[in-house]
Amino acid sequence: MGAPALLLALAAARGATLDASGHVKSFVIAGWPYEWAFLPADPFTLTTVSGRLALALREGEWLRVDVHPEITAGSGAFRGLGGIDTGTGVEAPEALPLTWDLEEGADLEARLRVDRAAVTIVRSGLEAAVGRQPVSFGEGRLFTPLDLVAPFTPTTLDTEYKPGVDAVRVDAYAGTSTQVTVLGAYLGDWRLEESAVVVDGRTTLLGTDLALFAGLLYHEPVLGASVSGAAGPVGLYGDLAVTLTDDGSEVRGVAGALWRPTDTTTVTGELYGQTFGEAEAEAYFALATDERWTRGDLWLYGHAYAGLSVAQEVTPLVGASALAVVNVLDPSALLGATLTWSAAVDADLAAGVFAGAGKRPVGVEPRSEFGLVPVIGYLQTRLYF
Amino acid sequence: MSPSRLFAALALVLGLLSAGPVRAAGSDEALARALLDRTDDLHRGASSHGTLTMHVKTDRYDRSLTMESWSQGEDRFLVVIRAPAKEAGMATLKVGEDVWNYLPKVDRTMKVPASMRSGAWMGSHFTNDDLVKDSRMAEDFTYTITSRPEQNPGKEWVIDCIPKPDAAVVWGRIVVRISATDELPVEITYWDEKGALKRTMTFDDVRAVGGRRIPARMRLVPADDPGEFTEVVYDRIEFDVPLPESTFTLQALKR
Repeated sequence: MGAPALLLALAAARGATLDASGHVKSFVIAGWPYEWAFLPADPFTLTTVSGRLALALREGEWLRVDVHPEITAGSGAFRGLGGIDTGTGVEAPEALPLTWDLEEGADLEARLRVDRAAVTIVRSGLEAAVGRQPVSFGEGRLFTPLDLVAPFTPTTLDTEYKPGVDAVRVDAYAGTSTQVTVLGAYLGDWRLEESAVVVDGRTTLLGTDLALFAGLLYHEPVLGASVSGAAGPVGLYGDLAVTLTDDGSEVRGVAGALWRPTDTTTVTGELYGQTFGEAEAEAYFALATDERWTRGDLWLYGHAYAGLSVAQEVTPLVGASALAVVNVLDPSALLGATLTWSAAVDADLAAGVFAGAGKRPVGVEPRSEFGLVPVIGYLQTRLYF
Repeated sequence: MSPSRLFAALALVLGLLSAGPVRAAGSDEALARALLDRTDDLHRGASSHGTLTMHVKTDRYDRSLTMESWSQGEDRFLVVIRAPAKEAGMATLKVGEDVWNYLPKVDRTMKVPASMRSGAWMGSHFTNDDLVKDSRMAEDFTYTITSRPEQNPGKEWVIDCIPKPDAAVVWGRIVVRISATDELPVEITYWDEKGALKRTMTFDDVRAVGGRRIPARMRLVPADDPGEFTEVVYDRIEFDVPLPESTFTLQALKR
């Protein structure tokens, strides 16, 4: 890898600062499948180890270069079964090929990917970044209709790092909280058919953050808006996205509330709806091969959902959380629970379980969305340096 | 540890570090008020920029956190966590009543509603009331000088503060000890409504920092476990530094 050496040389030559940090994470994922043609017949385990070196070169306040090589190795797939995704070693379309498969055996896969490779130039009121970088839009926590570029899902086990996207981005700032972002992102090609061009503007009015979004994603116009404010002790937020397709328009929207009933408890509730998807579970299977789902900007197959997340600080070092995502029309639910222990200043342990509740498929035909999900348990270690 | 909680803790700390001297006051009441105001206003400097370390020690763990902070007036703060690595880069901006967090690893700027700013600061002995409330001792308490420098060996002003009936404070009584030598707080004890001591905040390591003599170290010790503490130490601080308007913006969150 020449990039770290190049950064070191640059830092030394220009008297810039170079910060180096990173982590090593491991996942052991175990599944207890039910009888279905697309799942293993027996309980299974997957093991993944991921190491990231985060290098950040800074020249004063005006230049920042970020390079994050990440090595991921595992037995079996990096993305677990049943929709569970470790969140590490994620593949994304690359304008600049910076992924190398080191091992592709049946028992072991190993990959080196440079997940950040961006140069950012900062001027008062302006910031321009070119290269692989994280991109997020919208306010949704569980459901993210405006986070259209490499979004997380509730079944992503580790959401610490958003996968880097190859993009050119300019942010303009005015006042305290007015920001306009212009982004061009590579989603498979730089042609409009396989890229994203986005303008997103946000500001604060009367204590409420408002944002407007306009973009072309895969050559389809998308218009959106976000809001984030509060009503008494409850934080309120929402996103709305309208995609203009060849056949008309499709709407996705989320409304959420954030509440802290006690000093150590945080409750997040969301309602989500989308005109994408199907009303009948039998039709979900066909969607699984539709490009909107295969490329990841949609991951739900139905129309109406509710989500609830409760995070509890058990002790200052131990946290517990529970999650329920419900397809209210199937009906079915994805249930999850996680326990995290901060074992040391730079070491965490986590254990969790996900399970689907709903009608199991018959033959290859789904009868509910989350009824497809088997019982998945995982253990994770995170070591930081 | 969430940035909003860190911000809140920092707001308290900044509040204790940047006041001017008390001018000669006439009556005891005026003098007590001036001393309490000075203690409260230690954090109301025109501006500041510094780095500080928070050290939390309990029976079960021992943690430190390093932050860089900027402040201007009473309601503009920017805090960026520098260490440990797990949380480095997380930042919180407060401008007036608005608070935002920035999470660099996911490139997400999030508005923090007021209700989420409360709650105990994870792992520390600070409470919400310490960290978030904008109360003032001279406004929210009735106060009496109970000992004068010539009446005690520490040569301190001792001021007893009892909350006013309508004051939104959680303490039944606060006793403030202020050195007559430098007019800096030496100790503040916090008592509940039943008269039980709950905790003690001490101020020491007075030194010239940023051109002023200030207590560079503050330690909060809970009364029910004297072996535990939360300690805040300023490693470096500058006062009354010129800070451009852009210091307290969403752009600055990404520093």
